[in-house]
Amino acid sequence: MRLKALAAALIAWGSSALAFAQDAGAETAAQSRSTQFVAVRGPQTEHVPGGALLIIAYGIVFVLLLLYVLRLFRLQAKTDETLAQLGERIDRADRAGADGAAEAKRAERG
Amino acid sequence: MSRAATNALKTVAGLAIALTAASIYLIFFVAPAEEQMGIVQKIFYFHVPSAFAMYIGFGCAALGSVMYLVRRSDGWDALAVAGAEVGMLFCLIVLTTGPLWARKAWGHFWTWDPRLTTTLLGALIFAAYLALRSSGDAGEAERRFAAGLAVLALPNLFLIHYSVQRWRGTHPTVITKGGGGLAPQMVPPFICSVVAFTLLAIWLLALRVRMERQHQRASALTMDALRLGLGEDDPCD
Repeated sequence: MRLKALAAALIAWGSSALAFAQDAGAETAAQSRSTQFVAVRGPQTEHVPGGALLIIAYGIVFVLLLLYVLRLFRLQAKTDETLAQLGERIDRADRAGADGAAEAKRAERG
Repeated sequence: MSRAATNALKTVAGLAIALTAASIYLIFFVAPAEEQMGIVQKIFYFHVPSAFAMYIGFGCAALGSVMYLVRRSDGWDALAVAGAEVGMLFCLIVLTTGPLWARKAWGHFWTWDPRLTTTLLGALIFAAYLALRSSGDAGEAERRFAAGLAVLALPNLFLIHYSVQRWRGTHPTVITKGGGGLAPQMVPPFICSVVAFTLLAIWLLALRVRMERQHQRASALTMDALRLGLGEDDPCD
């Protein structure tokens, strides 16, 4: 009986100690945030390279603008090509029409 | 296009290029670095004017689309296509330069802030518009559906602008209503950049409208040629 009581007491103590330990480790919402700002010691250093980000940003701006201007040139070239093909077709049709008319005249005379 | 219009376009292009060069000089050699953010704050001088240019482009796309739905005119359709393309160009600039600044200022590239989210939404809507129109000779149904999309994007433009005032977020409100403003030395480079990007947007928009009109006329002539038997496989060949 005493042995059982001793075991129960040990289990109760152990579990309460474990719970206490968990409580001690847990942070409140306020504690999980930064609570103070500490001044830098020595020379100021930056972990995120601002200069590199700036150069990349400006580089992207000019690359995108250049690519769009190139796209406009390509579109213009495509339209010019379509118009040139149309011109060729009209010229061929004109020549064929003129040849056909001359042949018809010759046939009439003959 | 008349000779006067061509000359006006050349003048706008020249001014835009000259002012962009002047902006770069002012940004890197005159404007001071920001106290908290350091040199990366200089992204602001191209980021905000790009956003203005984006509004111009997307605004023209919405206007052209509304007018196209009302009048079914090729001219308004050309304005809508040009506006969507130019707006998307500047929207891409906004959506790439912003996160690069945010990496330094906020510690991460992206956050679901109201302004960032509504800008991304606008980009997605106009990406769908451009995908619909990417086939070149879009039919009447595609044109109307695309115009509907651009009209749908119109309220989003207002949401982008007013999101920083109406909802809580992390996006800065320096120059809009309620903002603290710029340091006096930062004002000239900013104004120069805004004017340069506005002229750049107008120039690209006018060029693209002219090209779209030429493309429309070339397509109409090709159709006429085919109708008259002057196609690739006509007996004359």
